[in-house]
Amino acid sequence: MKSRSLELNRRTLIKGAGVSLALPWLEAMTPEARSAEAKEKKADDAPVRMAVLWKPNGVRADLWTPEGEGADFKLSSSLESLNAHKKDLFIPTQLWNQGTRSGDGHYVKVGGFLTGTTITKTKGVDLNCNGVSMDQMAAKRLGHLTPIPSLELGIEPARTGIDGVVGYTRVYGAHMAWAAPRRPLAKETNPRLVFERLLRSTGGRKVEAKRDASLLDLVMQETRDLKKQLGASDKRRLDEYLDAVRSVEGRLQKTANPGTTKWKLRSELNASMAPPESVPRDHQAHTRLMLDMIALAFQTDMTRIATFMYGNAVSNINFSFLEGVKGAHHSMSHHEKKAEKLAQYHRINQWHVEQYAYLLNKLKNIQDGEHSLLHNSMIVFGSSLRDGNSHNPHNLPVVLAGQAGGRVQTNQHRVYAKDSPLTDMWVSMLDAFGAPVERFADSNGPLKGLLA
Amino acid sequence: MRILGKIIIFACFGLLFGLKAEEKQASVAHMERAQILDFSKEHCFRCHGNKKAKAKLNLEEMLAGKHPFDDAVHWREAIERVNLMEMPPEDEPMPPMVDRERYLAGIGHQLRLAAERLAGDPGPFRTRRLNRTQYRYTMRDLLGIHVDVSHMLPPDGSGGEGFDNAEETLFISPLHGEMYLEAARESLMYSSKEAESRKRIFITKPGDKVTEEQAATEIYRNFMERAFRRPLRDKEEVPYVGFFKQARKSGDTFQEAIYYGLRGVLVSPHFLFRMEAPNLGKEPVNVTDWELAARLSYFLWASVPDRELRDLASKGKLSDPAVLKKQVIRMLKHRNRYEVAEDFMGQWLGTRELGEEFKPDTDLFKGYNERLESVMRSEPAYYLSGMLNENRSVLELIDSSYTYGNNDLLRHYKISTKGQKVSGSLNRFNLPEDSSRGGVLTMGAVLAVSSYPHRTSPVLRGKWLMEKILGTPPPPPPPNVPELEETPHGQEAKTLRERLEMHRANPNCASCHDRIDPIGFGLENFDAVGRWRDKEGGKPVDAKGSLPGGLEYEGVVGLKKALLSKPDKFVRHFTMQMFAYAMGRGIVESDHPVIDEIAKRTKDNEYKIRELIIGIVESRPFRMKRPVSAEVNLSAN
Repeated sequence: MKSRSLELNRRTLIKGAGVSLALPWLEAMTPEARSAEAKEKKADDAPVRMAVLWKPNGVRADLWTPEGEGADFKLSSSLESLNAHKKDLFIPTQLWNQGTRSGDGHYVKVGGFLTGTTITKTKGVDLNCNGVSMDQMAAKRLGHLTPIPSLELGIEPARTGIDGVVGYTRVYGAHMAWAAPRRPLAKETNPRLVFERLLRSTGGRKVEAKRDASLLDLVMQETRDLKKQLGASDKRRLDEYLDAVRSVEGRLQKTANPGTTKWKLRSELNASMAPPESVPRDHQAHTRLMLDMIALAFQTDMTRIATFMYGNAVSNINFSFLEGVKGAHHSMSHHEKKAEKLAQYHRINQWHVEQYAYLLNKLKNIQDGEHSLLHNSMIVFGSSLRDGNSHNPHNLPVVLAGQAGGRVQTNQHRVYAKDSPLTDMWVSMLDAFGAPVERFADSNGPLKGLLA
Repeated sequence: MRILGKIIIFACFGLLFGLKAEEKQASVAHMERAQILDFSKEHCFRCHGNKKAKAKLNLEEMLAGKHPFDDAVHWREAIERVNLMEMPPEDEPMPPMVDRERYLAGIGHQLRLAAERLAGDPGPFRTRRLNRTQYRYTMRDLLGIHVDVSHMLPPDGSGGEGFDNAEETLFISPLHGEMYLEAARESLMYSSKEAESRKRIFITKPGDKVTEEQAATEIYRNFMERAFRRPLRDKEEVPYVGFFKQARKSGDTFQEAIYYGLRGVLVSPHFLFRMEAPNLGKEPVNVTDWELAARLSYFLWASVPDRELRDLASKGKLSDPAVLKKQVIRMLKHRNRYEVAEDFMGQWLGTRELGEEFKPDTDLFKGYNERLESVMRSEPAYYLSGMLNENRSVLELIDSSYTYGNNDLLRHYKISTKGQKVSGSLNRFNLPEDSSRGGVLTMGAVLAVSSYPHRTSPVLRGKWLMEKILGTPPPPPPPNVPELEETPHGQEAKTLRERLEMHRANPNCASCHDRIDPIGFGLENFDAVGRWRDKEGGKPVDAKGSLPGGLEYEGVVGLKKALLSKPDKFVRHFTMQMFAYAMGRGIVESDHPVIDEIAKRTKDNEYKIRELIIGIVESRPFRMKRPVSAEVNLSAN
């Protein structure tokens, strides 16, 4: 609860303006939230964290699948950098994303990767993914337990322009987290800004937070009043703003009134840990800094949910910094079955897995309660295409690492029936995360063998 | 679905524009109504007719109506499917590609006729937040600070015709909420440290006859009117004065307390959103003078109205046609036009992404560096800014006798500037008689963003020209096309041109690549960073090409001549782009006749760009707002 004196101040203020007061909605205190908090306390002290790392342009279809099944498997050359973490891996084969089979080769695949739905084809006016992404299903249920409900991170910012050839706004290719069918979540690409956001949320600026909260009360009031005056299609944007403000307000309440929620900083966070002010031009350095931010956010428990995009759809980042590569990602992914291009494409894909290994290694070396942070997490690596040359969403390349505190049965490669829903995996992960769902897109239920 | 079809319609349409009859033969001729009916009967009615209407689409019923093409939404859905080769389905007889295109072009033609009948609707102008660029310049002009805090906000994606000011895609995330607060805090901190900025805000101070509360009231009312871009309601400042008083009580100085309330103003929806009073009547009405001031200032400056616009608006004089015209001319000469020139050109041409999405390989292109890159990125902005200032012909976008450059860029272009002084900053230079430069096509940034990082691509450049200059992006490749490398048995293609020509031997590929590739070849004399070359891979460059419709040319000079010999298509497309930028939304049906009219007006006035801009400002969509009742009710989420 917020302090009485502050509330009084805000009420007085708004009364002074001659408008009625609606008390801010405190998400943290809903019954659902209370029971989730109680549950969490009963179980292990360490919460489960979840991240999805998505890479654009598919993988080398012929060099991805591990050899052998069950616990007795050998990693493919695409995955060889994960050898040190083999026991922490769960690798499913033959999953597909049915909702993304039609449409174009890229945008449909990205927009629907975590939603399992088919996005609406549009240059903008009908922007709609027709679902909610898996990470946001989790955030809706448990996001209020941490200062930041979820982090959306990436390397390439949303770009200007629409794709005139296929007729999709490129917004679809730049966002994989969807809070609602028409609401993608903007992502951060600057590690320094992410860090500052984490630092702001630690509770250092109590007075400032209270003052901001007062301002936001008025903002919400003004926004609600405006909604009454405007036409239906104008209201939508105001609703979005209302939700955005409410979310900031929720965070400010936690900052302004420490001790009123169960949340505690799990590990130290201070200004000396800040990444450099400007975004590195070096692609690998940039990527690793962003992954560092995920590790830091999880370690401190600023959030438990994160998504990360190595690039946007059709990403054409130049990978000439890798030995043997002379070109850009998307062009290489259209390898036309040429040996020379295939080799370079493979190297690029390996690089992506290596960065994943970097994060896993980092999490493995962070103590989190009785176990490693990796043990308490679920970190997915995946692409929404199999082969970048053919753009099909069959047999998708996905890997899960970490045990979700013991709930996930790792050290296995499982081969499912052809075209088993990828969304089954999301269902199992939501279960392990503590946010079980009844139905999810085309899912038939949990993915067999994932949960212990 | 609604918007998408339009791309296809106009993709097909554009091909017909400005072409003579014999040229239509060479590309595609659109079907007439009777032929559309025949084609539909043969290929569609079995599943989409009176007996069976799969996906609730009954083309038979639609075509039987008096105005079958008024229902644009369903037609767009239909042509989208046909265009994507999803319809007819695989197990049905396939119409030849050329019939497919003629069919689509025919429907496009009919939809356009219908749109002309429906003209008069000013189209939507929905409430939208300031985008990142507008936020940046609004803060600059409102506070008089010289620090850009907009980098804290997430970049905006684009919708509509491809601009990031399109309201369709200006969604709001929790991240925006948080960053607006931080950006406001940061800007005000800078403001408090700059005397010039403080002067703008603190228009009065408490004294013998002025209480603190009175001073605060006056300060807030002044600032809020500027920030909200409208006259204030009675007592609207009261809650902000309340913040001020609260802060004073807790020990803030007068100045600090004022800044606290200002932070509130800068996160208020009245500031962050551009909105207009709803039109509750049945007919379109003129926007108010204040609304007009904001539409103007965001179109021509990407920022808030200045004092002169506000004064005219408050006196109700801005809507006077003579006053309005004078203001447009003043605004186009004002230095703030540069920001819009930069914003517009960077997005229309795609050159904003040079160094971001498109990074030429610096290992391969020695001498190419970040400094040069930044000048290359600025060149298109300087160019348009100069055109706006001097009211030049829009045809100079295709070719001109001058160019902009500094010593780096001119060296890169190998342009000799006999007798003209060169410096580190961008200036205008007259080009030598025989120069192939001039116009946007030969700008380094354009040539680089239409290439791969390591080499040029006639296909990418052809696509770029079709999309950006002619406004007719090629349709996506049909599924299962043979890849480029699958050369017929026993044949070995040597050059890229030969390989592309083989690819085009397949009639399904040829229907598009016959148009895409030959245009792109005209720019082959320029490498992937825009330098001139006579040879490529040891062989002389072959820059022979042709425009859609078969007009042949040699090299970039020929390409520019060919484009200028029939400039209507380009002028229309440029007008449409500028119109979409001005409205901050995608094009709707009823806009098309308006755009045609503005393009014609421009042409009739020696293609002067001022006519184009004034044409937009005086148009119904810009001057009027449609009734709320005409708004499509978007489904809530």
